[in-house]
Order: sequence, then structure tokens, then C-alpha cells
Amino acid sequence: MTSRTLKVLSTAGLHARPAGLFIETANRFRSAIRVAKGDREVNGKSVLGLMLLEITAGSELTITAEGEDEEQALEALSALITGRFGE
Amino acid sequence: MTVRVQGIGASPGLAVGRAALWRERPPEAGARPGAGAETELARLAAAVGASQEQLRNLAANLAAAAGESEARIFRVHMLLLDDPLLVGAVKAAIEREGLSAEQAVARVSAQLVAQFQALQDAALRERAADVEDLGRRLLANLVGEGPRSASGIVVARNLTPSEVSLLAAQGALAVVTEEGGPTGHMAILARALRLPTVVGAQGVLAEVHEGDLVAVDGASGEVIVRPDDATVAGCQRRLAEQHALHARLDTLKDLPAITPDGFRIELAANIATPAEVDAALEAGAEAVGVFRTEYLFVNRAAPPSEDEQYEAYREVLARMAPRRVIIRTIDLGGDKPAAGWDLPPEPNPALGLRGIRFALARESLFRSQLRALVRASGVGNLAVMLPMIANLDEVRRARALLDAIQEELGVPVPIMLGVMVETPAAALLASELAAETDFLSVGTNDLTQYVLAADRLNPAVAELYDPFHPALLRLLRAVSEAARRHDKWAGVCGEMGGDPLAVPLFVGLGMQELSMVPAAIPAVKDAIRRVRRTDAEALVEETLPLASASEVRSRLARFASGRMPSQ
Repeated sequence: MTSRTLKVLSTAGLHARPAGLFIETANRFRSAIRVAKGDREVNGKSVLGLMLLEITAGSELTITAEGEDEEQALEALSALITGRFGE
Repeated sequence: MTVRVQGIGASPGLAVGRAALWRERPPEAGARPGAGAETELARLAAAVGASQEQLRNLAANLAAAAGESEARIFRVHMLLLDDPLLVGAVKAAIEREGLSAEQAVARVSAQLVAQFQALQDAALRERAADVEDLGRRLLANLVGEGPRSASGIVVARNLTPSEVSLLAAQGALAVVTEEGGPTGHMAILARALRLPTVVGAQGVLAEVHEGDLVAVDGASGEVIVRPDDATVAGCQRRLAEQHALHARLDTLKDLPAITPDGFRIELAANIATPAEVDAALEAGAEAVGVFRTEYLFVNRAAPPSEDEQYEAYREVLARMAPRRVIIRTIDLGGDKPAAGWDLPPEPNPALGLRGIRFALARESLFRSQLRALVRASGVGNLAVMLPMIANLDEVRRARALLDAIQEELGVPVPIMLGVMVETPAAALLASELAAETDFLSVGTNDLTQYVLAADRLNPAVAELYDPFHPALLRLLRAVSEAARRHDKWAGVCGEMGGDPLAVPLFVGLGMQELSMVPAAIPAVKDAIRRVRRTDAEALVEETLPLASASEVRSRLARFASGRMPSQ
């Protein structure tokens, strides 16, 4: 299991489009992905879950991946967030 | 007894017909216990498959009727249907608790809806309606209930986008809802599908019975329940008049807007969303005179990405090509708060940080819009228009940003840049502005407010607000003459631009473009084709020295009655 905490810089937070991109990326990996904000944690392969976290610009997220490709999954998802979802 | 209910006009059009009450009837989950996990999971899979199929068809139909951007909502539904929190949770409930598929869907979607409704963020909270819609669709497919139908005037508490597109396809005459606003998905769809619609008609359900006669005016928002014979006759007469007028004006559709002595005016459409391109083309618009981009920025928690903007601009440019599309840069601030920015309330928003001032103060936002515009520019015939210009320097700063972005993106083709003349300063500096830009388009609504220092939404002074005031007309002349001196064109894009009464003035002043709501185009074209430029010029000379708006109006009415046969 590996995890990383990141700050969301995207001005749009994580509304439908970035949330969609996030799960699209997460679904490319076999590992289970969890995303936590504060004391709430959701399935990182669920758009509904990500939207329910109400992630806005400046939110701190902890992404956890568990599985055979956990390192690569975490790398790809972190890159998405630090790259502001290609904004 | 006749009852009138005032709602909000959400999609224009008149209709008289029998009421069909749309009762809230969510499909029943039923008390039947689960028939074993394997059976229930198979039923669930079939319902999910059927739902995907329906959504795919709905999205395709809507994309064809109203454009890809309006269909996006159903593509989102398709995505959510795959979500582990929805179908995954339903499966878990079936497996662990022995529930029937219906019971599991009802429970999971109700829980999700409640979670979304509890969110702080307004845009995310609206997703509750999407989850609810999706849950109902799954349930309906599980219990084998076909889509509901209704004809006549459909009266409902609220309708989902799916229900509205279904009703339009089934030939409903009009829709009246108690809830909802004119900017909701449902209203946008109704407009795109040309289904006369009134929203926010509070109390209407308590007044209407199934089968009651109802008259609906989708423009004014008026709903008349059980109208008396005279009212019905009046509505039917107006409907017949509209049909006759449309039929006559339809014959003009493919004819140019040209005066009998050969002065040609370009007629353009004002649009607020890509979905309105169809209405513009159908009305015979030769261009888009203003594409307001605010819809991309308001009613949401965060501003749109550059890509989302690019998609919207590209769609309008591509569908209008090779016709010109003037895209107005963000006109936010003051009364139109921007997404994601905490704007301090201003004591006097009309004189505050708005239009170009806001854009230049939020340069990263402005840059993202200009980048999206430059990227989309290759697709069609783009012109960019700057709102609320009061200083030459604002134009120069915007031009420098645009040039820098074109350089960055390697787009060397010049992009037309114009000024929306809506401050007295811009009208008085028209010559200097014309020298440095490609066109001037007068926004008469704001210009009238600023020149006459009267807010038309303030009932105490609304009477003072009149764009036919001689002071306005003299500024219009200054703008038109300044443009001509610099070999540029001038036009009018405020509401006055779509008023047939004003047409002889615009012809006489030599305005080369008029932009208006699509529905106004045929009547304005009709007026242009009836007036000689030489007569119109003489009329302008007579009108401009007059002392008041009412004198101008009566002079114009006299001119019109001498020229235009009554309809």
C-alpha cells in the first residue's frame, strides 16, 4: 500500500470533467484507489464519490493505492493533480 | 373561474389546450422479497443495459436537435450508470441483504440524492437531480414500465431533462412547472426543442384540474387557467396572427435585407448558448452579432477550463461557418457575479468592476478565454468584441494580450477586434476607437442607461429610460459617422436593434449591421425592405433635433404608418 498527500491547484476543483479524468486514469490500473479529504474517504474509481468530497482549489487530498501496480497508479494520479488536469 | 398564475417565461410561444397533470409517480420499489441474488443481479444487469441504450438514443436525438453541448447531460448520466457508488452499491445490497433489485436501487439512489443535497457547493448539489433521474430510470426499467406520456399542456411540479425531451417528441403543446428557473437544464432544453414553457409558476398545481382549458404564454410567463371565451378567442387570434405573420415573413427568409434603393444591412443574431445557433439560422441570420459567453461562467462553483470554452466557441464557429461570429469577451461583475471569485458587493455595480474592467483585473481568466478563442479561430469566421470600453487604453491592453496569445499559439492570421459601444465615453471617442479596431457595435441597453442616468429596472425612473431619446440618437449618429470616416463598419446590438420602429433611423444613419434575438430578424428585414435610404436620411435629419423620446416615437410611428400596410 502506498499513499501521497497533495494539494489541488486546479482552479476548477474537482467537478464533473476533472473528476471524470481522474477516474478514467484510475481505471487504467488494477490497484484499488482510495481518495481522502479530511476525515472522509471515497473510492477513487467513482465519479459520484469524488464529487461528494467537494474538492475545491486548495483542498488537500490523500490518495492511496493498493495492488500490484500501486506505484504507477499513484504516480499517474499525482501527475494529473499537479498538472491541474491540463487546464 | 378564471385564474391567472404568473410564472417565468422559459421558452417562448403561445399555446391553448387541455391540462395534463404530471403527477409525481416514482415507480414503486414494491415489497416483493428478492428472488435470490443471482436472479436479482441478472435483472439489474438487464435494467442497466436498457438504461444505457435509452440514454444513448436520447443523447443522439438531442445532439441532432439542439447540439452536442445540450446532449452532454445524458452522456454524464451514462457515465454515472457505471459508477461503483451507484450500481456497485446496489449489487452489494442485493448480495448481502437479499433485497430485490428494485428495493436496492430505490434505497441506494435515495441515499445518494440525500448526500448530494447536503453539499455546500451549488453546482455539485444540482447533481442530486441527475442521480434522482437516473435512479427512476433504473426503477422504471426494472418494473417494466414504459416511458410516461402526456399531451396537451403538461403541468408539473418539476420535470427532468429526459421528461422534457420525451414530451417534446410526443407533441405536447406546452409545459408549465411550479419549480425550476429559466437557466436550468430543463428550460435550456425546452428552448432548444421549441416547446413553449413557463417555469416557476408557483401555485399552479393547486389551481389546475386534469382536462382544464389552459392558455400559456411562454414569453411573458403568463398562465391562464380556465380562461373565459373572450380570452380563448383572443389567444387563438394571436396564435393565428403569429402563424400568418410567420408565414409571410418566411417568404422573406432567403431574401437579403436590402432597401428598395439598394442599401444593404447585415442582419445578425444575438445568442447566449451554442444551442441557439439553429434558431438563428432558421430565422435567416447572416451572422452572429453577439455570442454572450457569460453562460459559461455563471451558476457554477468554478470557472470553465480553457478546453470547455474552446469546445463552446468551436461549436458555434463551426456551425455558423462561413458566416461571421462576434464573440463578446466575458461581461461579468456587478450584477453577474463570476463563478469561483468572491466579488465584494459594490455599492453601485453598474458603475463598478464589470465588462473589460473585470477581465483586465482577472488577467488569468481573461487569458484563458482569449486562448480558447484563438484556438477556435481557425474553425470559422471569428471576431472578438470587448464590452464596457470607456478608455482607449483598455482596447490597447486587450489587443496586446490577444497579440501575445496569437504569438504563443502560433496563430498569425489576424483576428477581427471590435468595441461594444455602451458607455458615453466610447460613443464620444468613437473616432479614436474606430481608428484602432475593426468595428463598433452599439449596445443600446447599457448606453441608454448611462446616457440618461436611468435604471430601467427601477420602477421610479423606468419611464425615463428610452433608447429613442434624441441624446441617444445623436450618439448613434456620431458612432456611425466615425466608423465610416475610418472605413470600418458600425452596427447596433442592443434590444433597439431588433425593433422595427427604429429601422428607418438605422437605415438613415447608415448602420451596416443590426444584431437581435433570432425571432426579431424577419420583422426587421421586412421593415428594411420597405424603406428607401433617401427617405430614411431625411427622416433622421427631422428626428434628431426633436426634444424628447416621445416626439421621436410619434414621428417614427407616423413615418411607419405611411409606409407599412397594417398586418
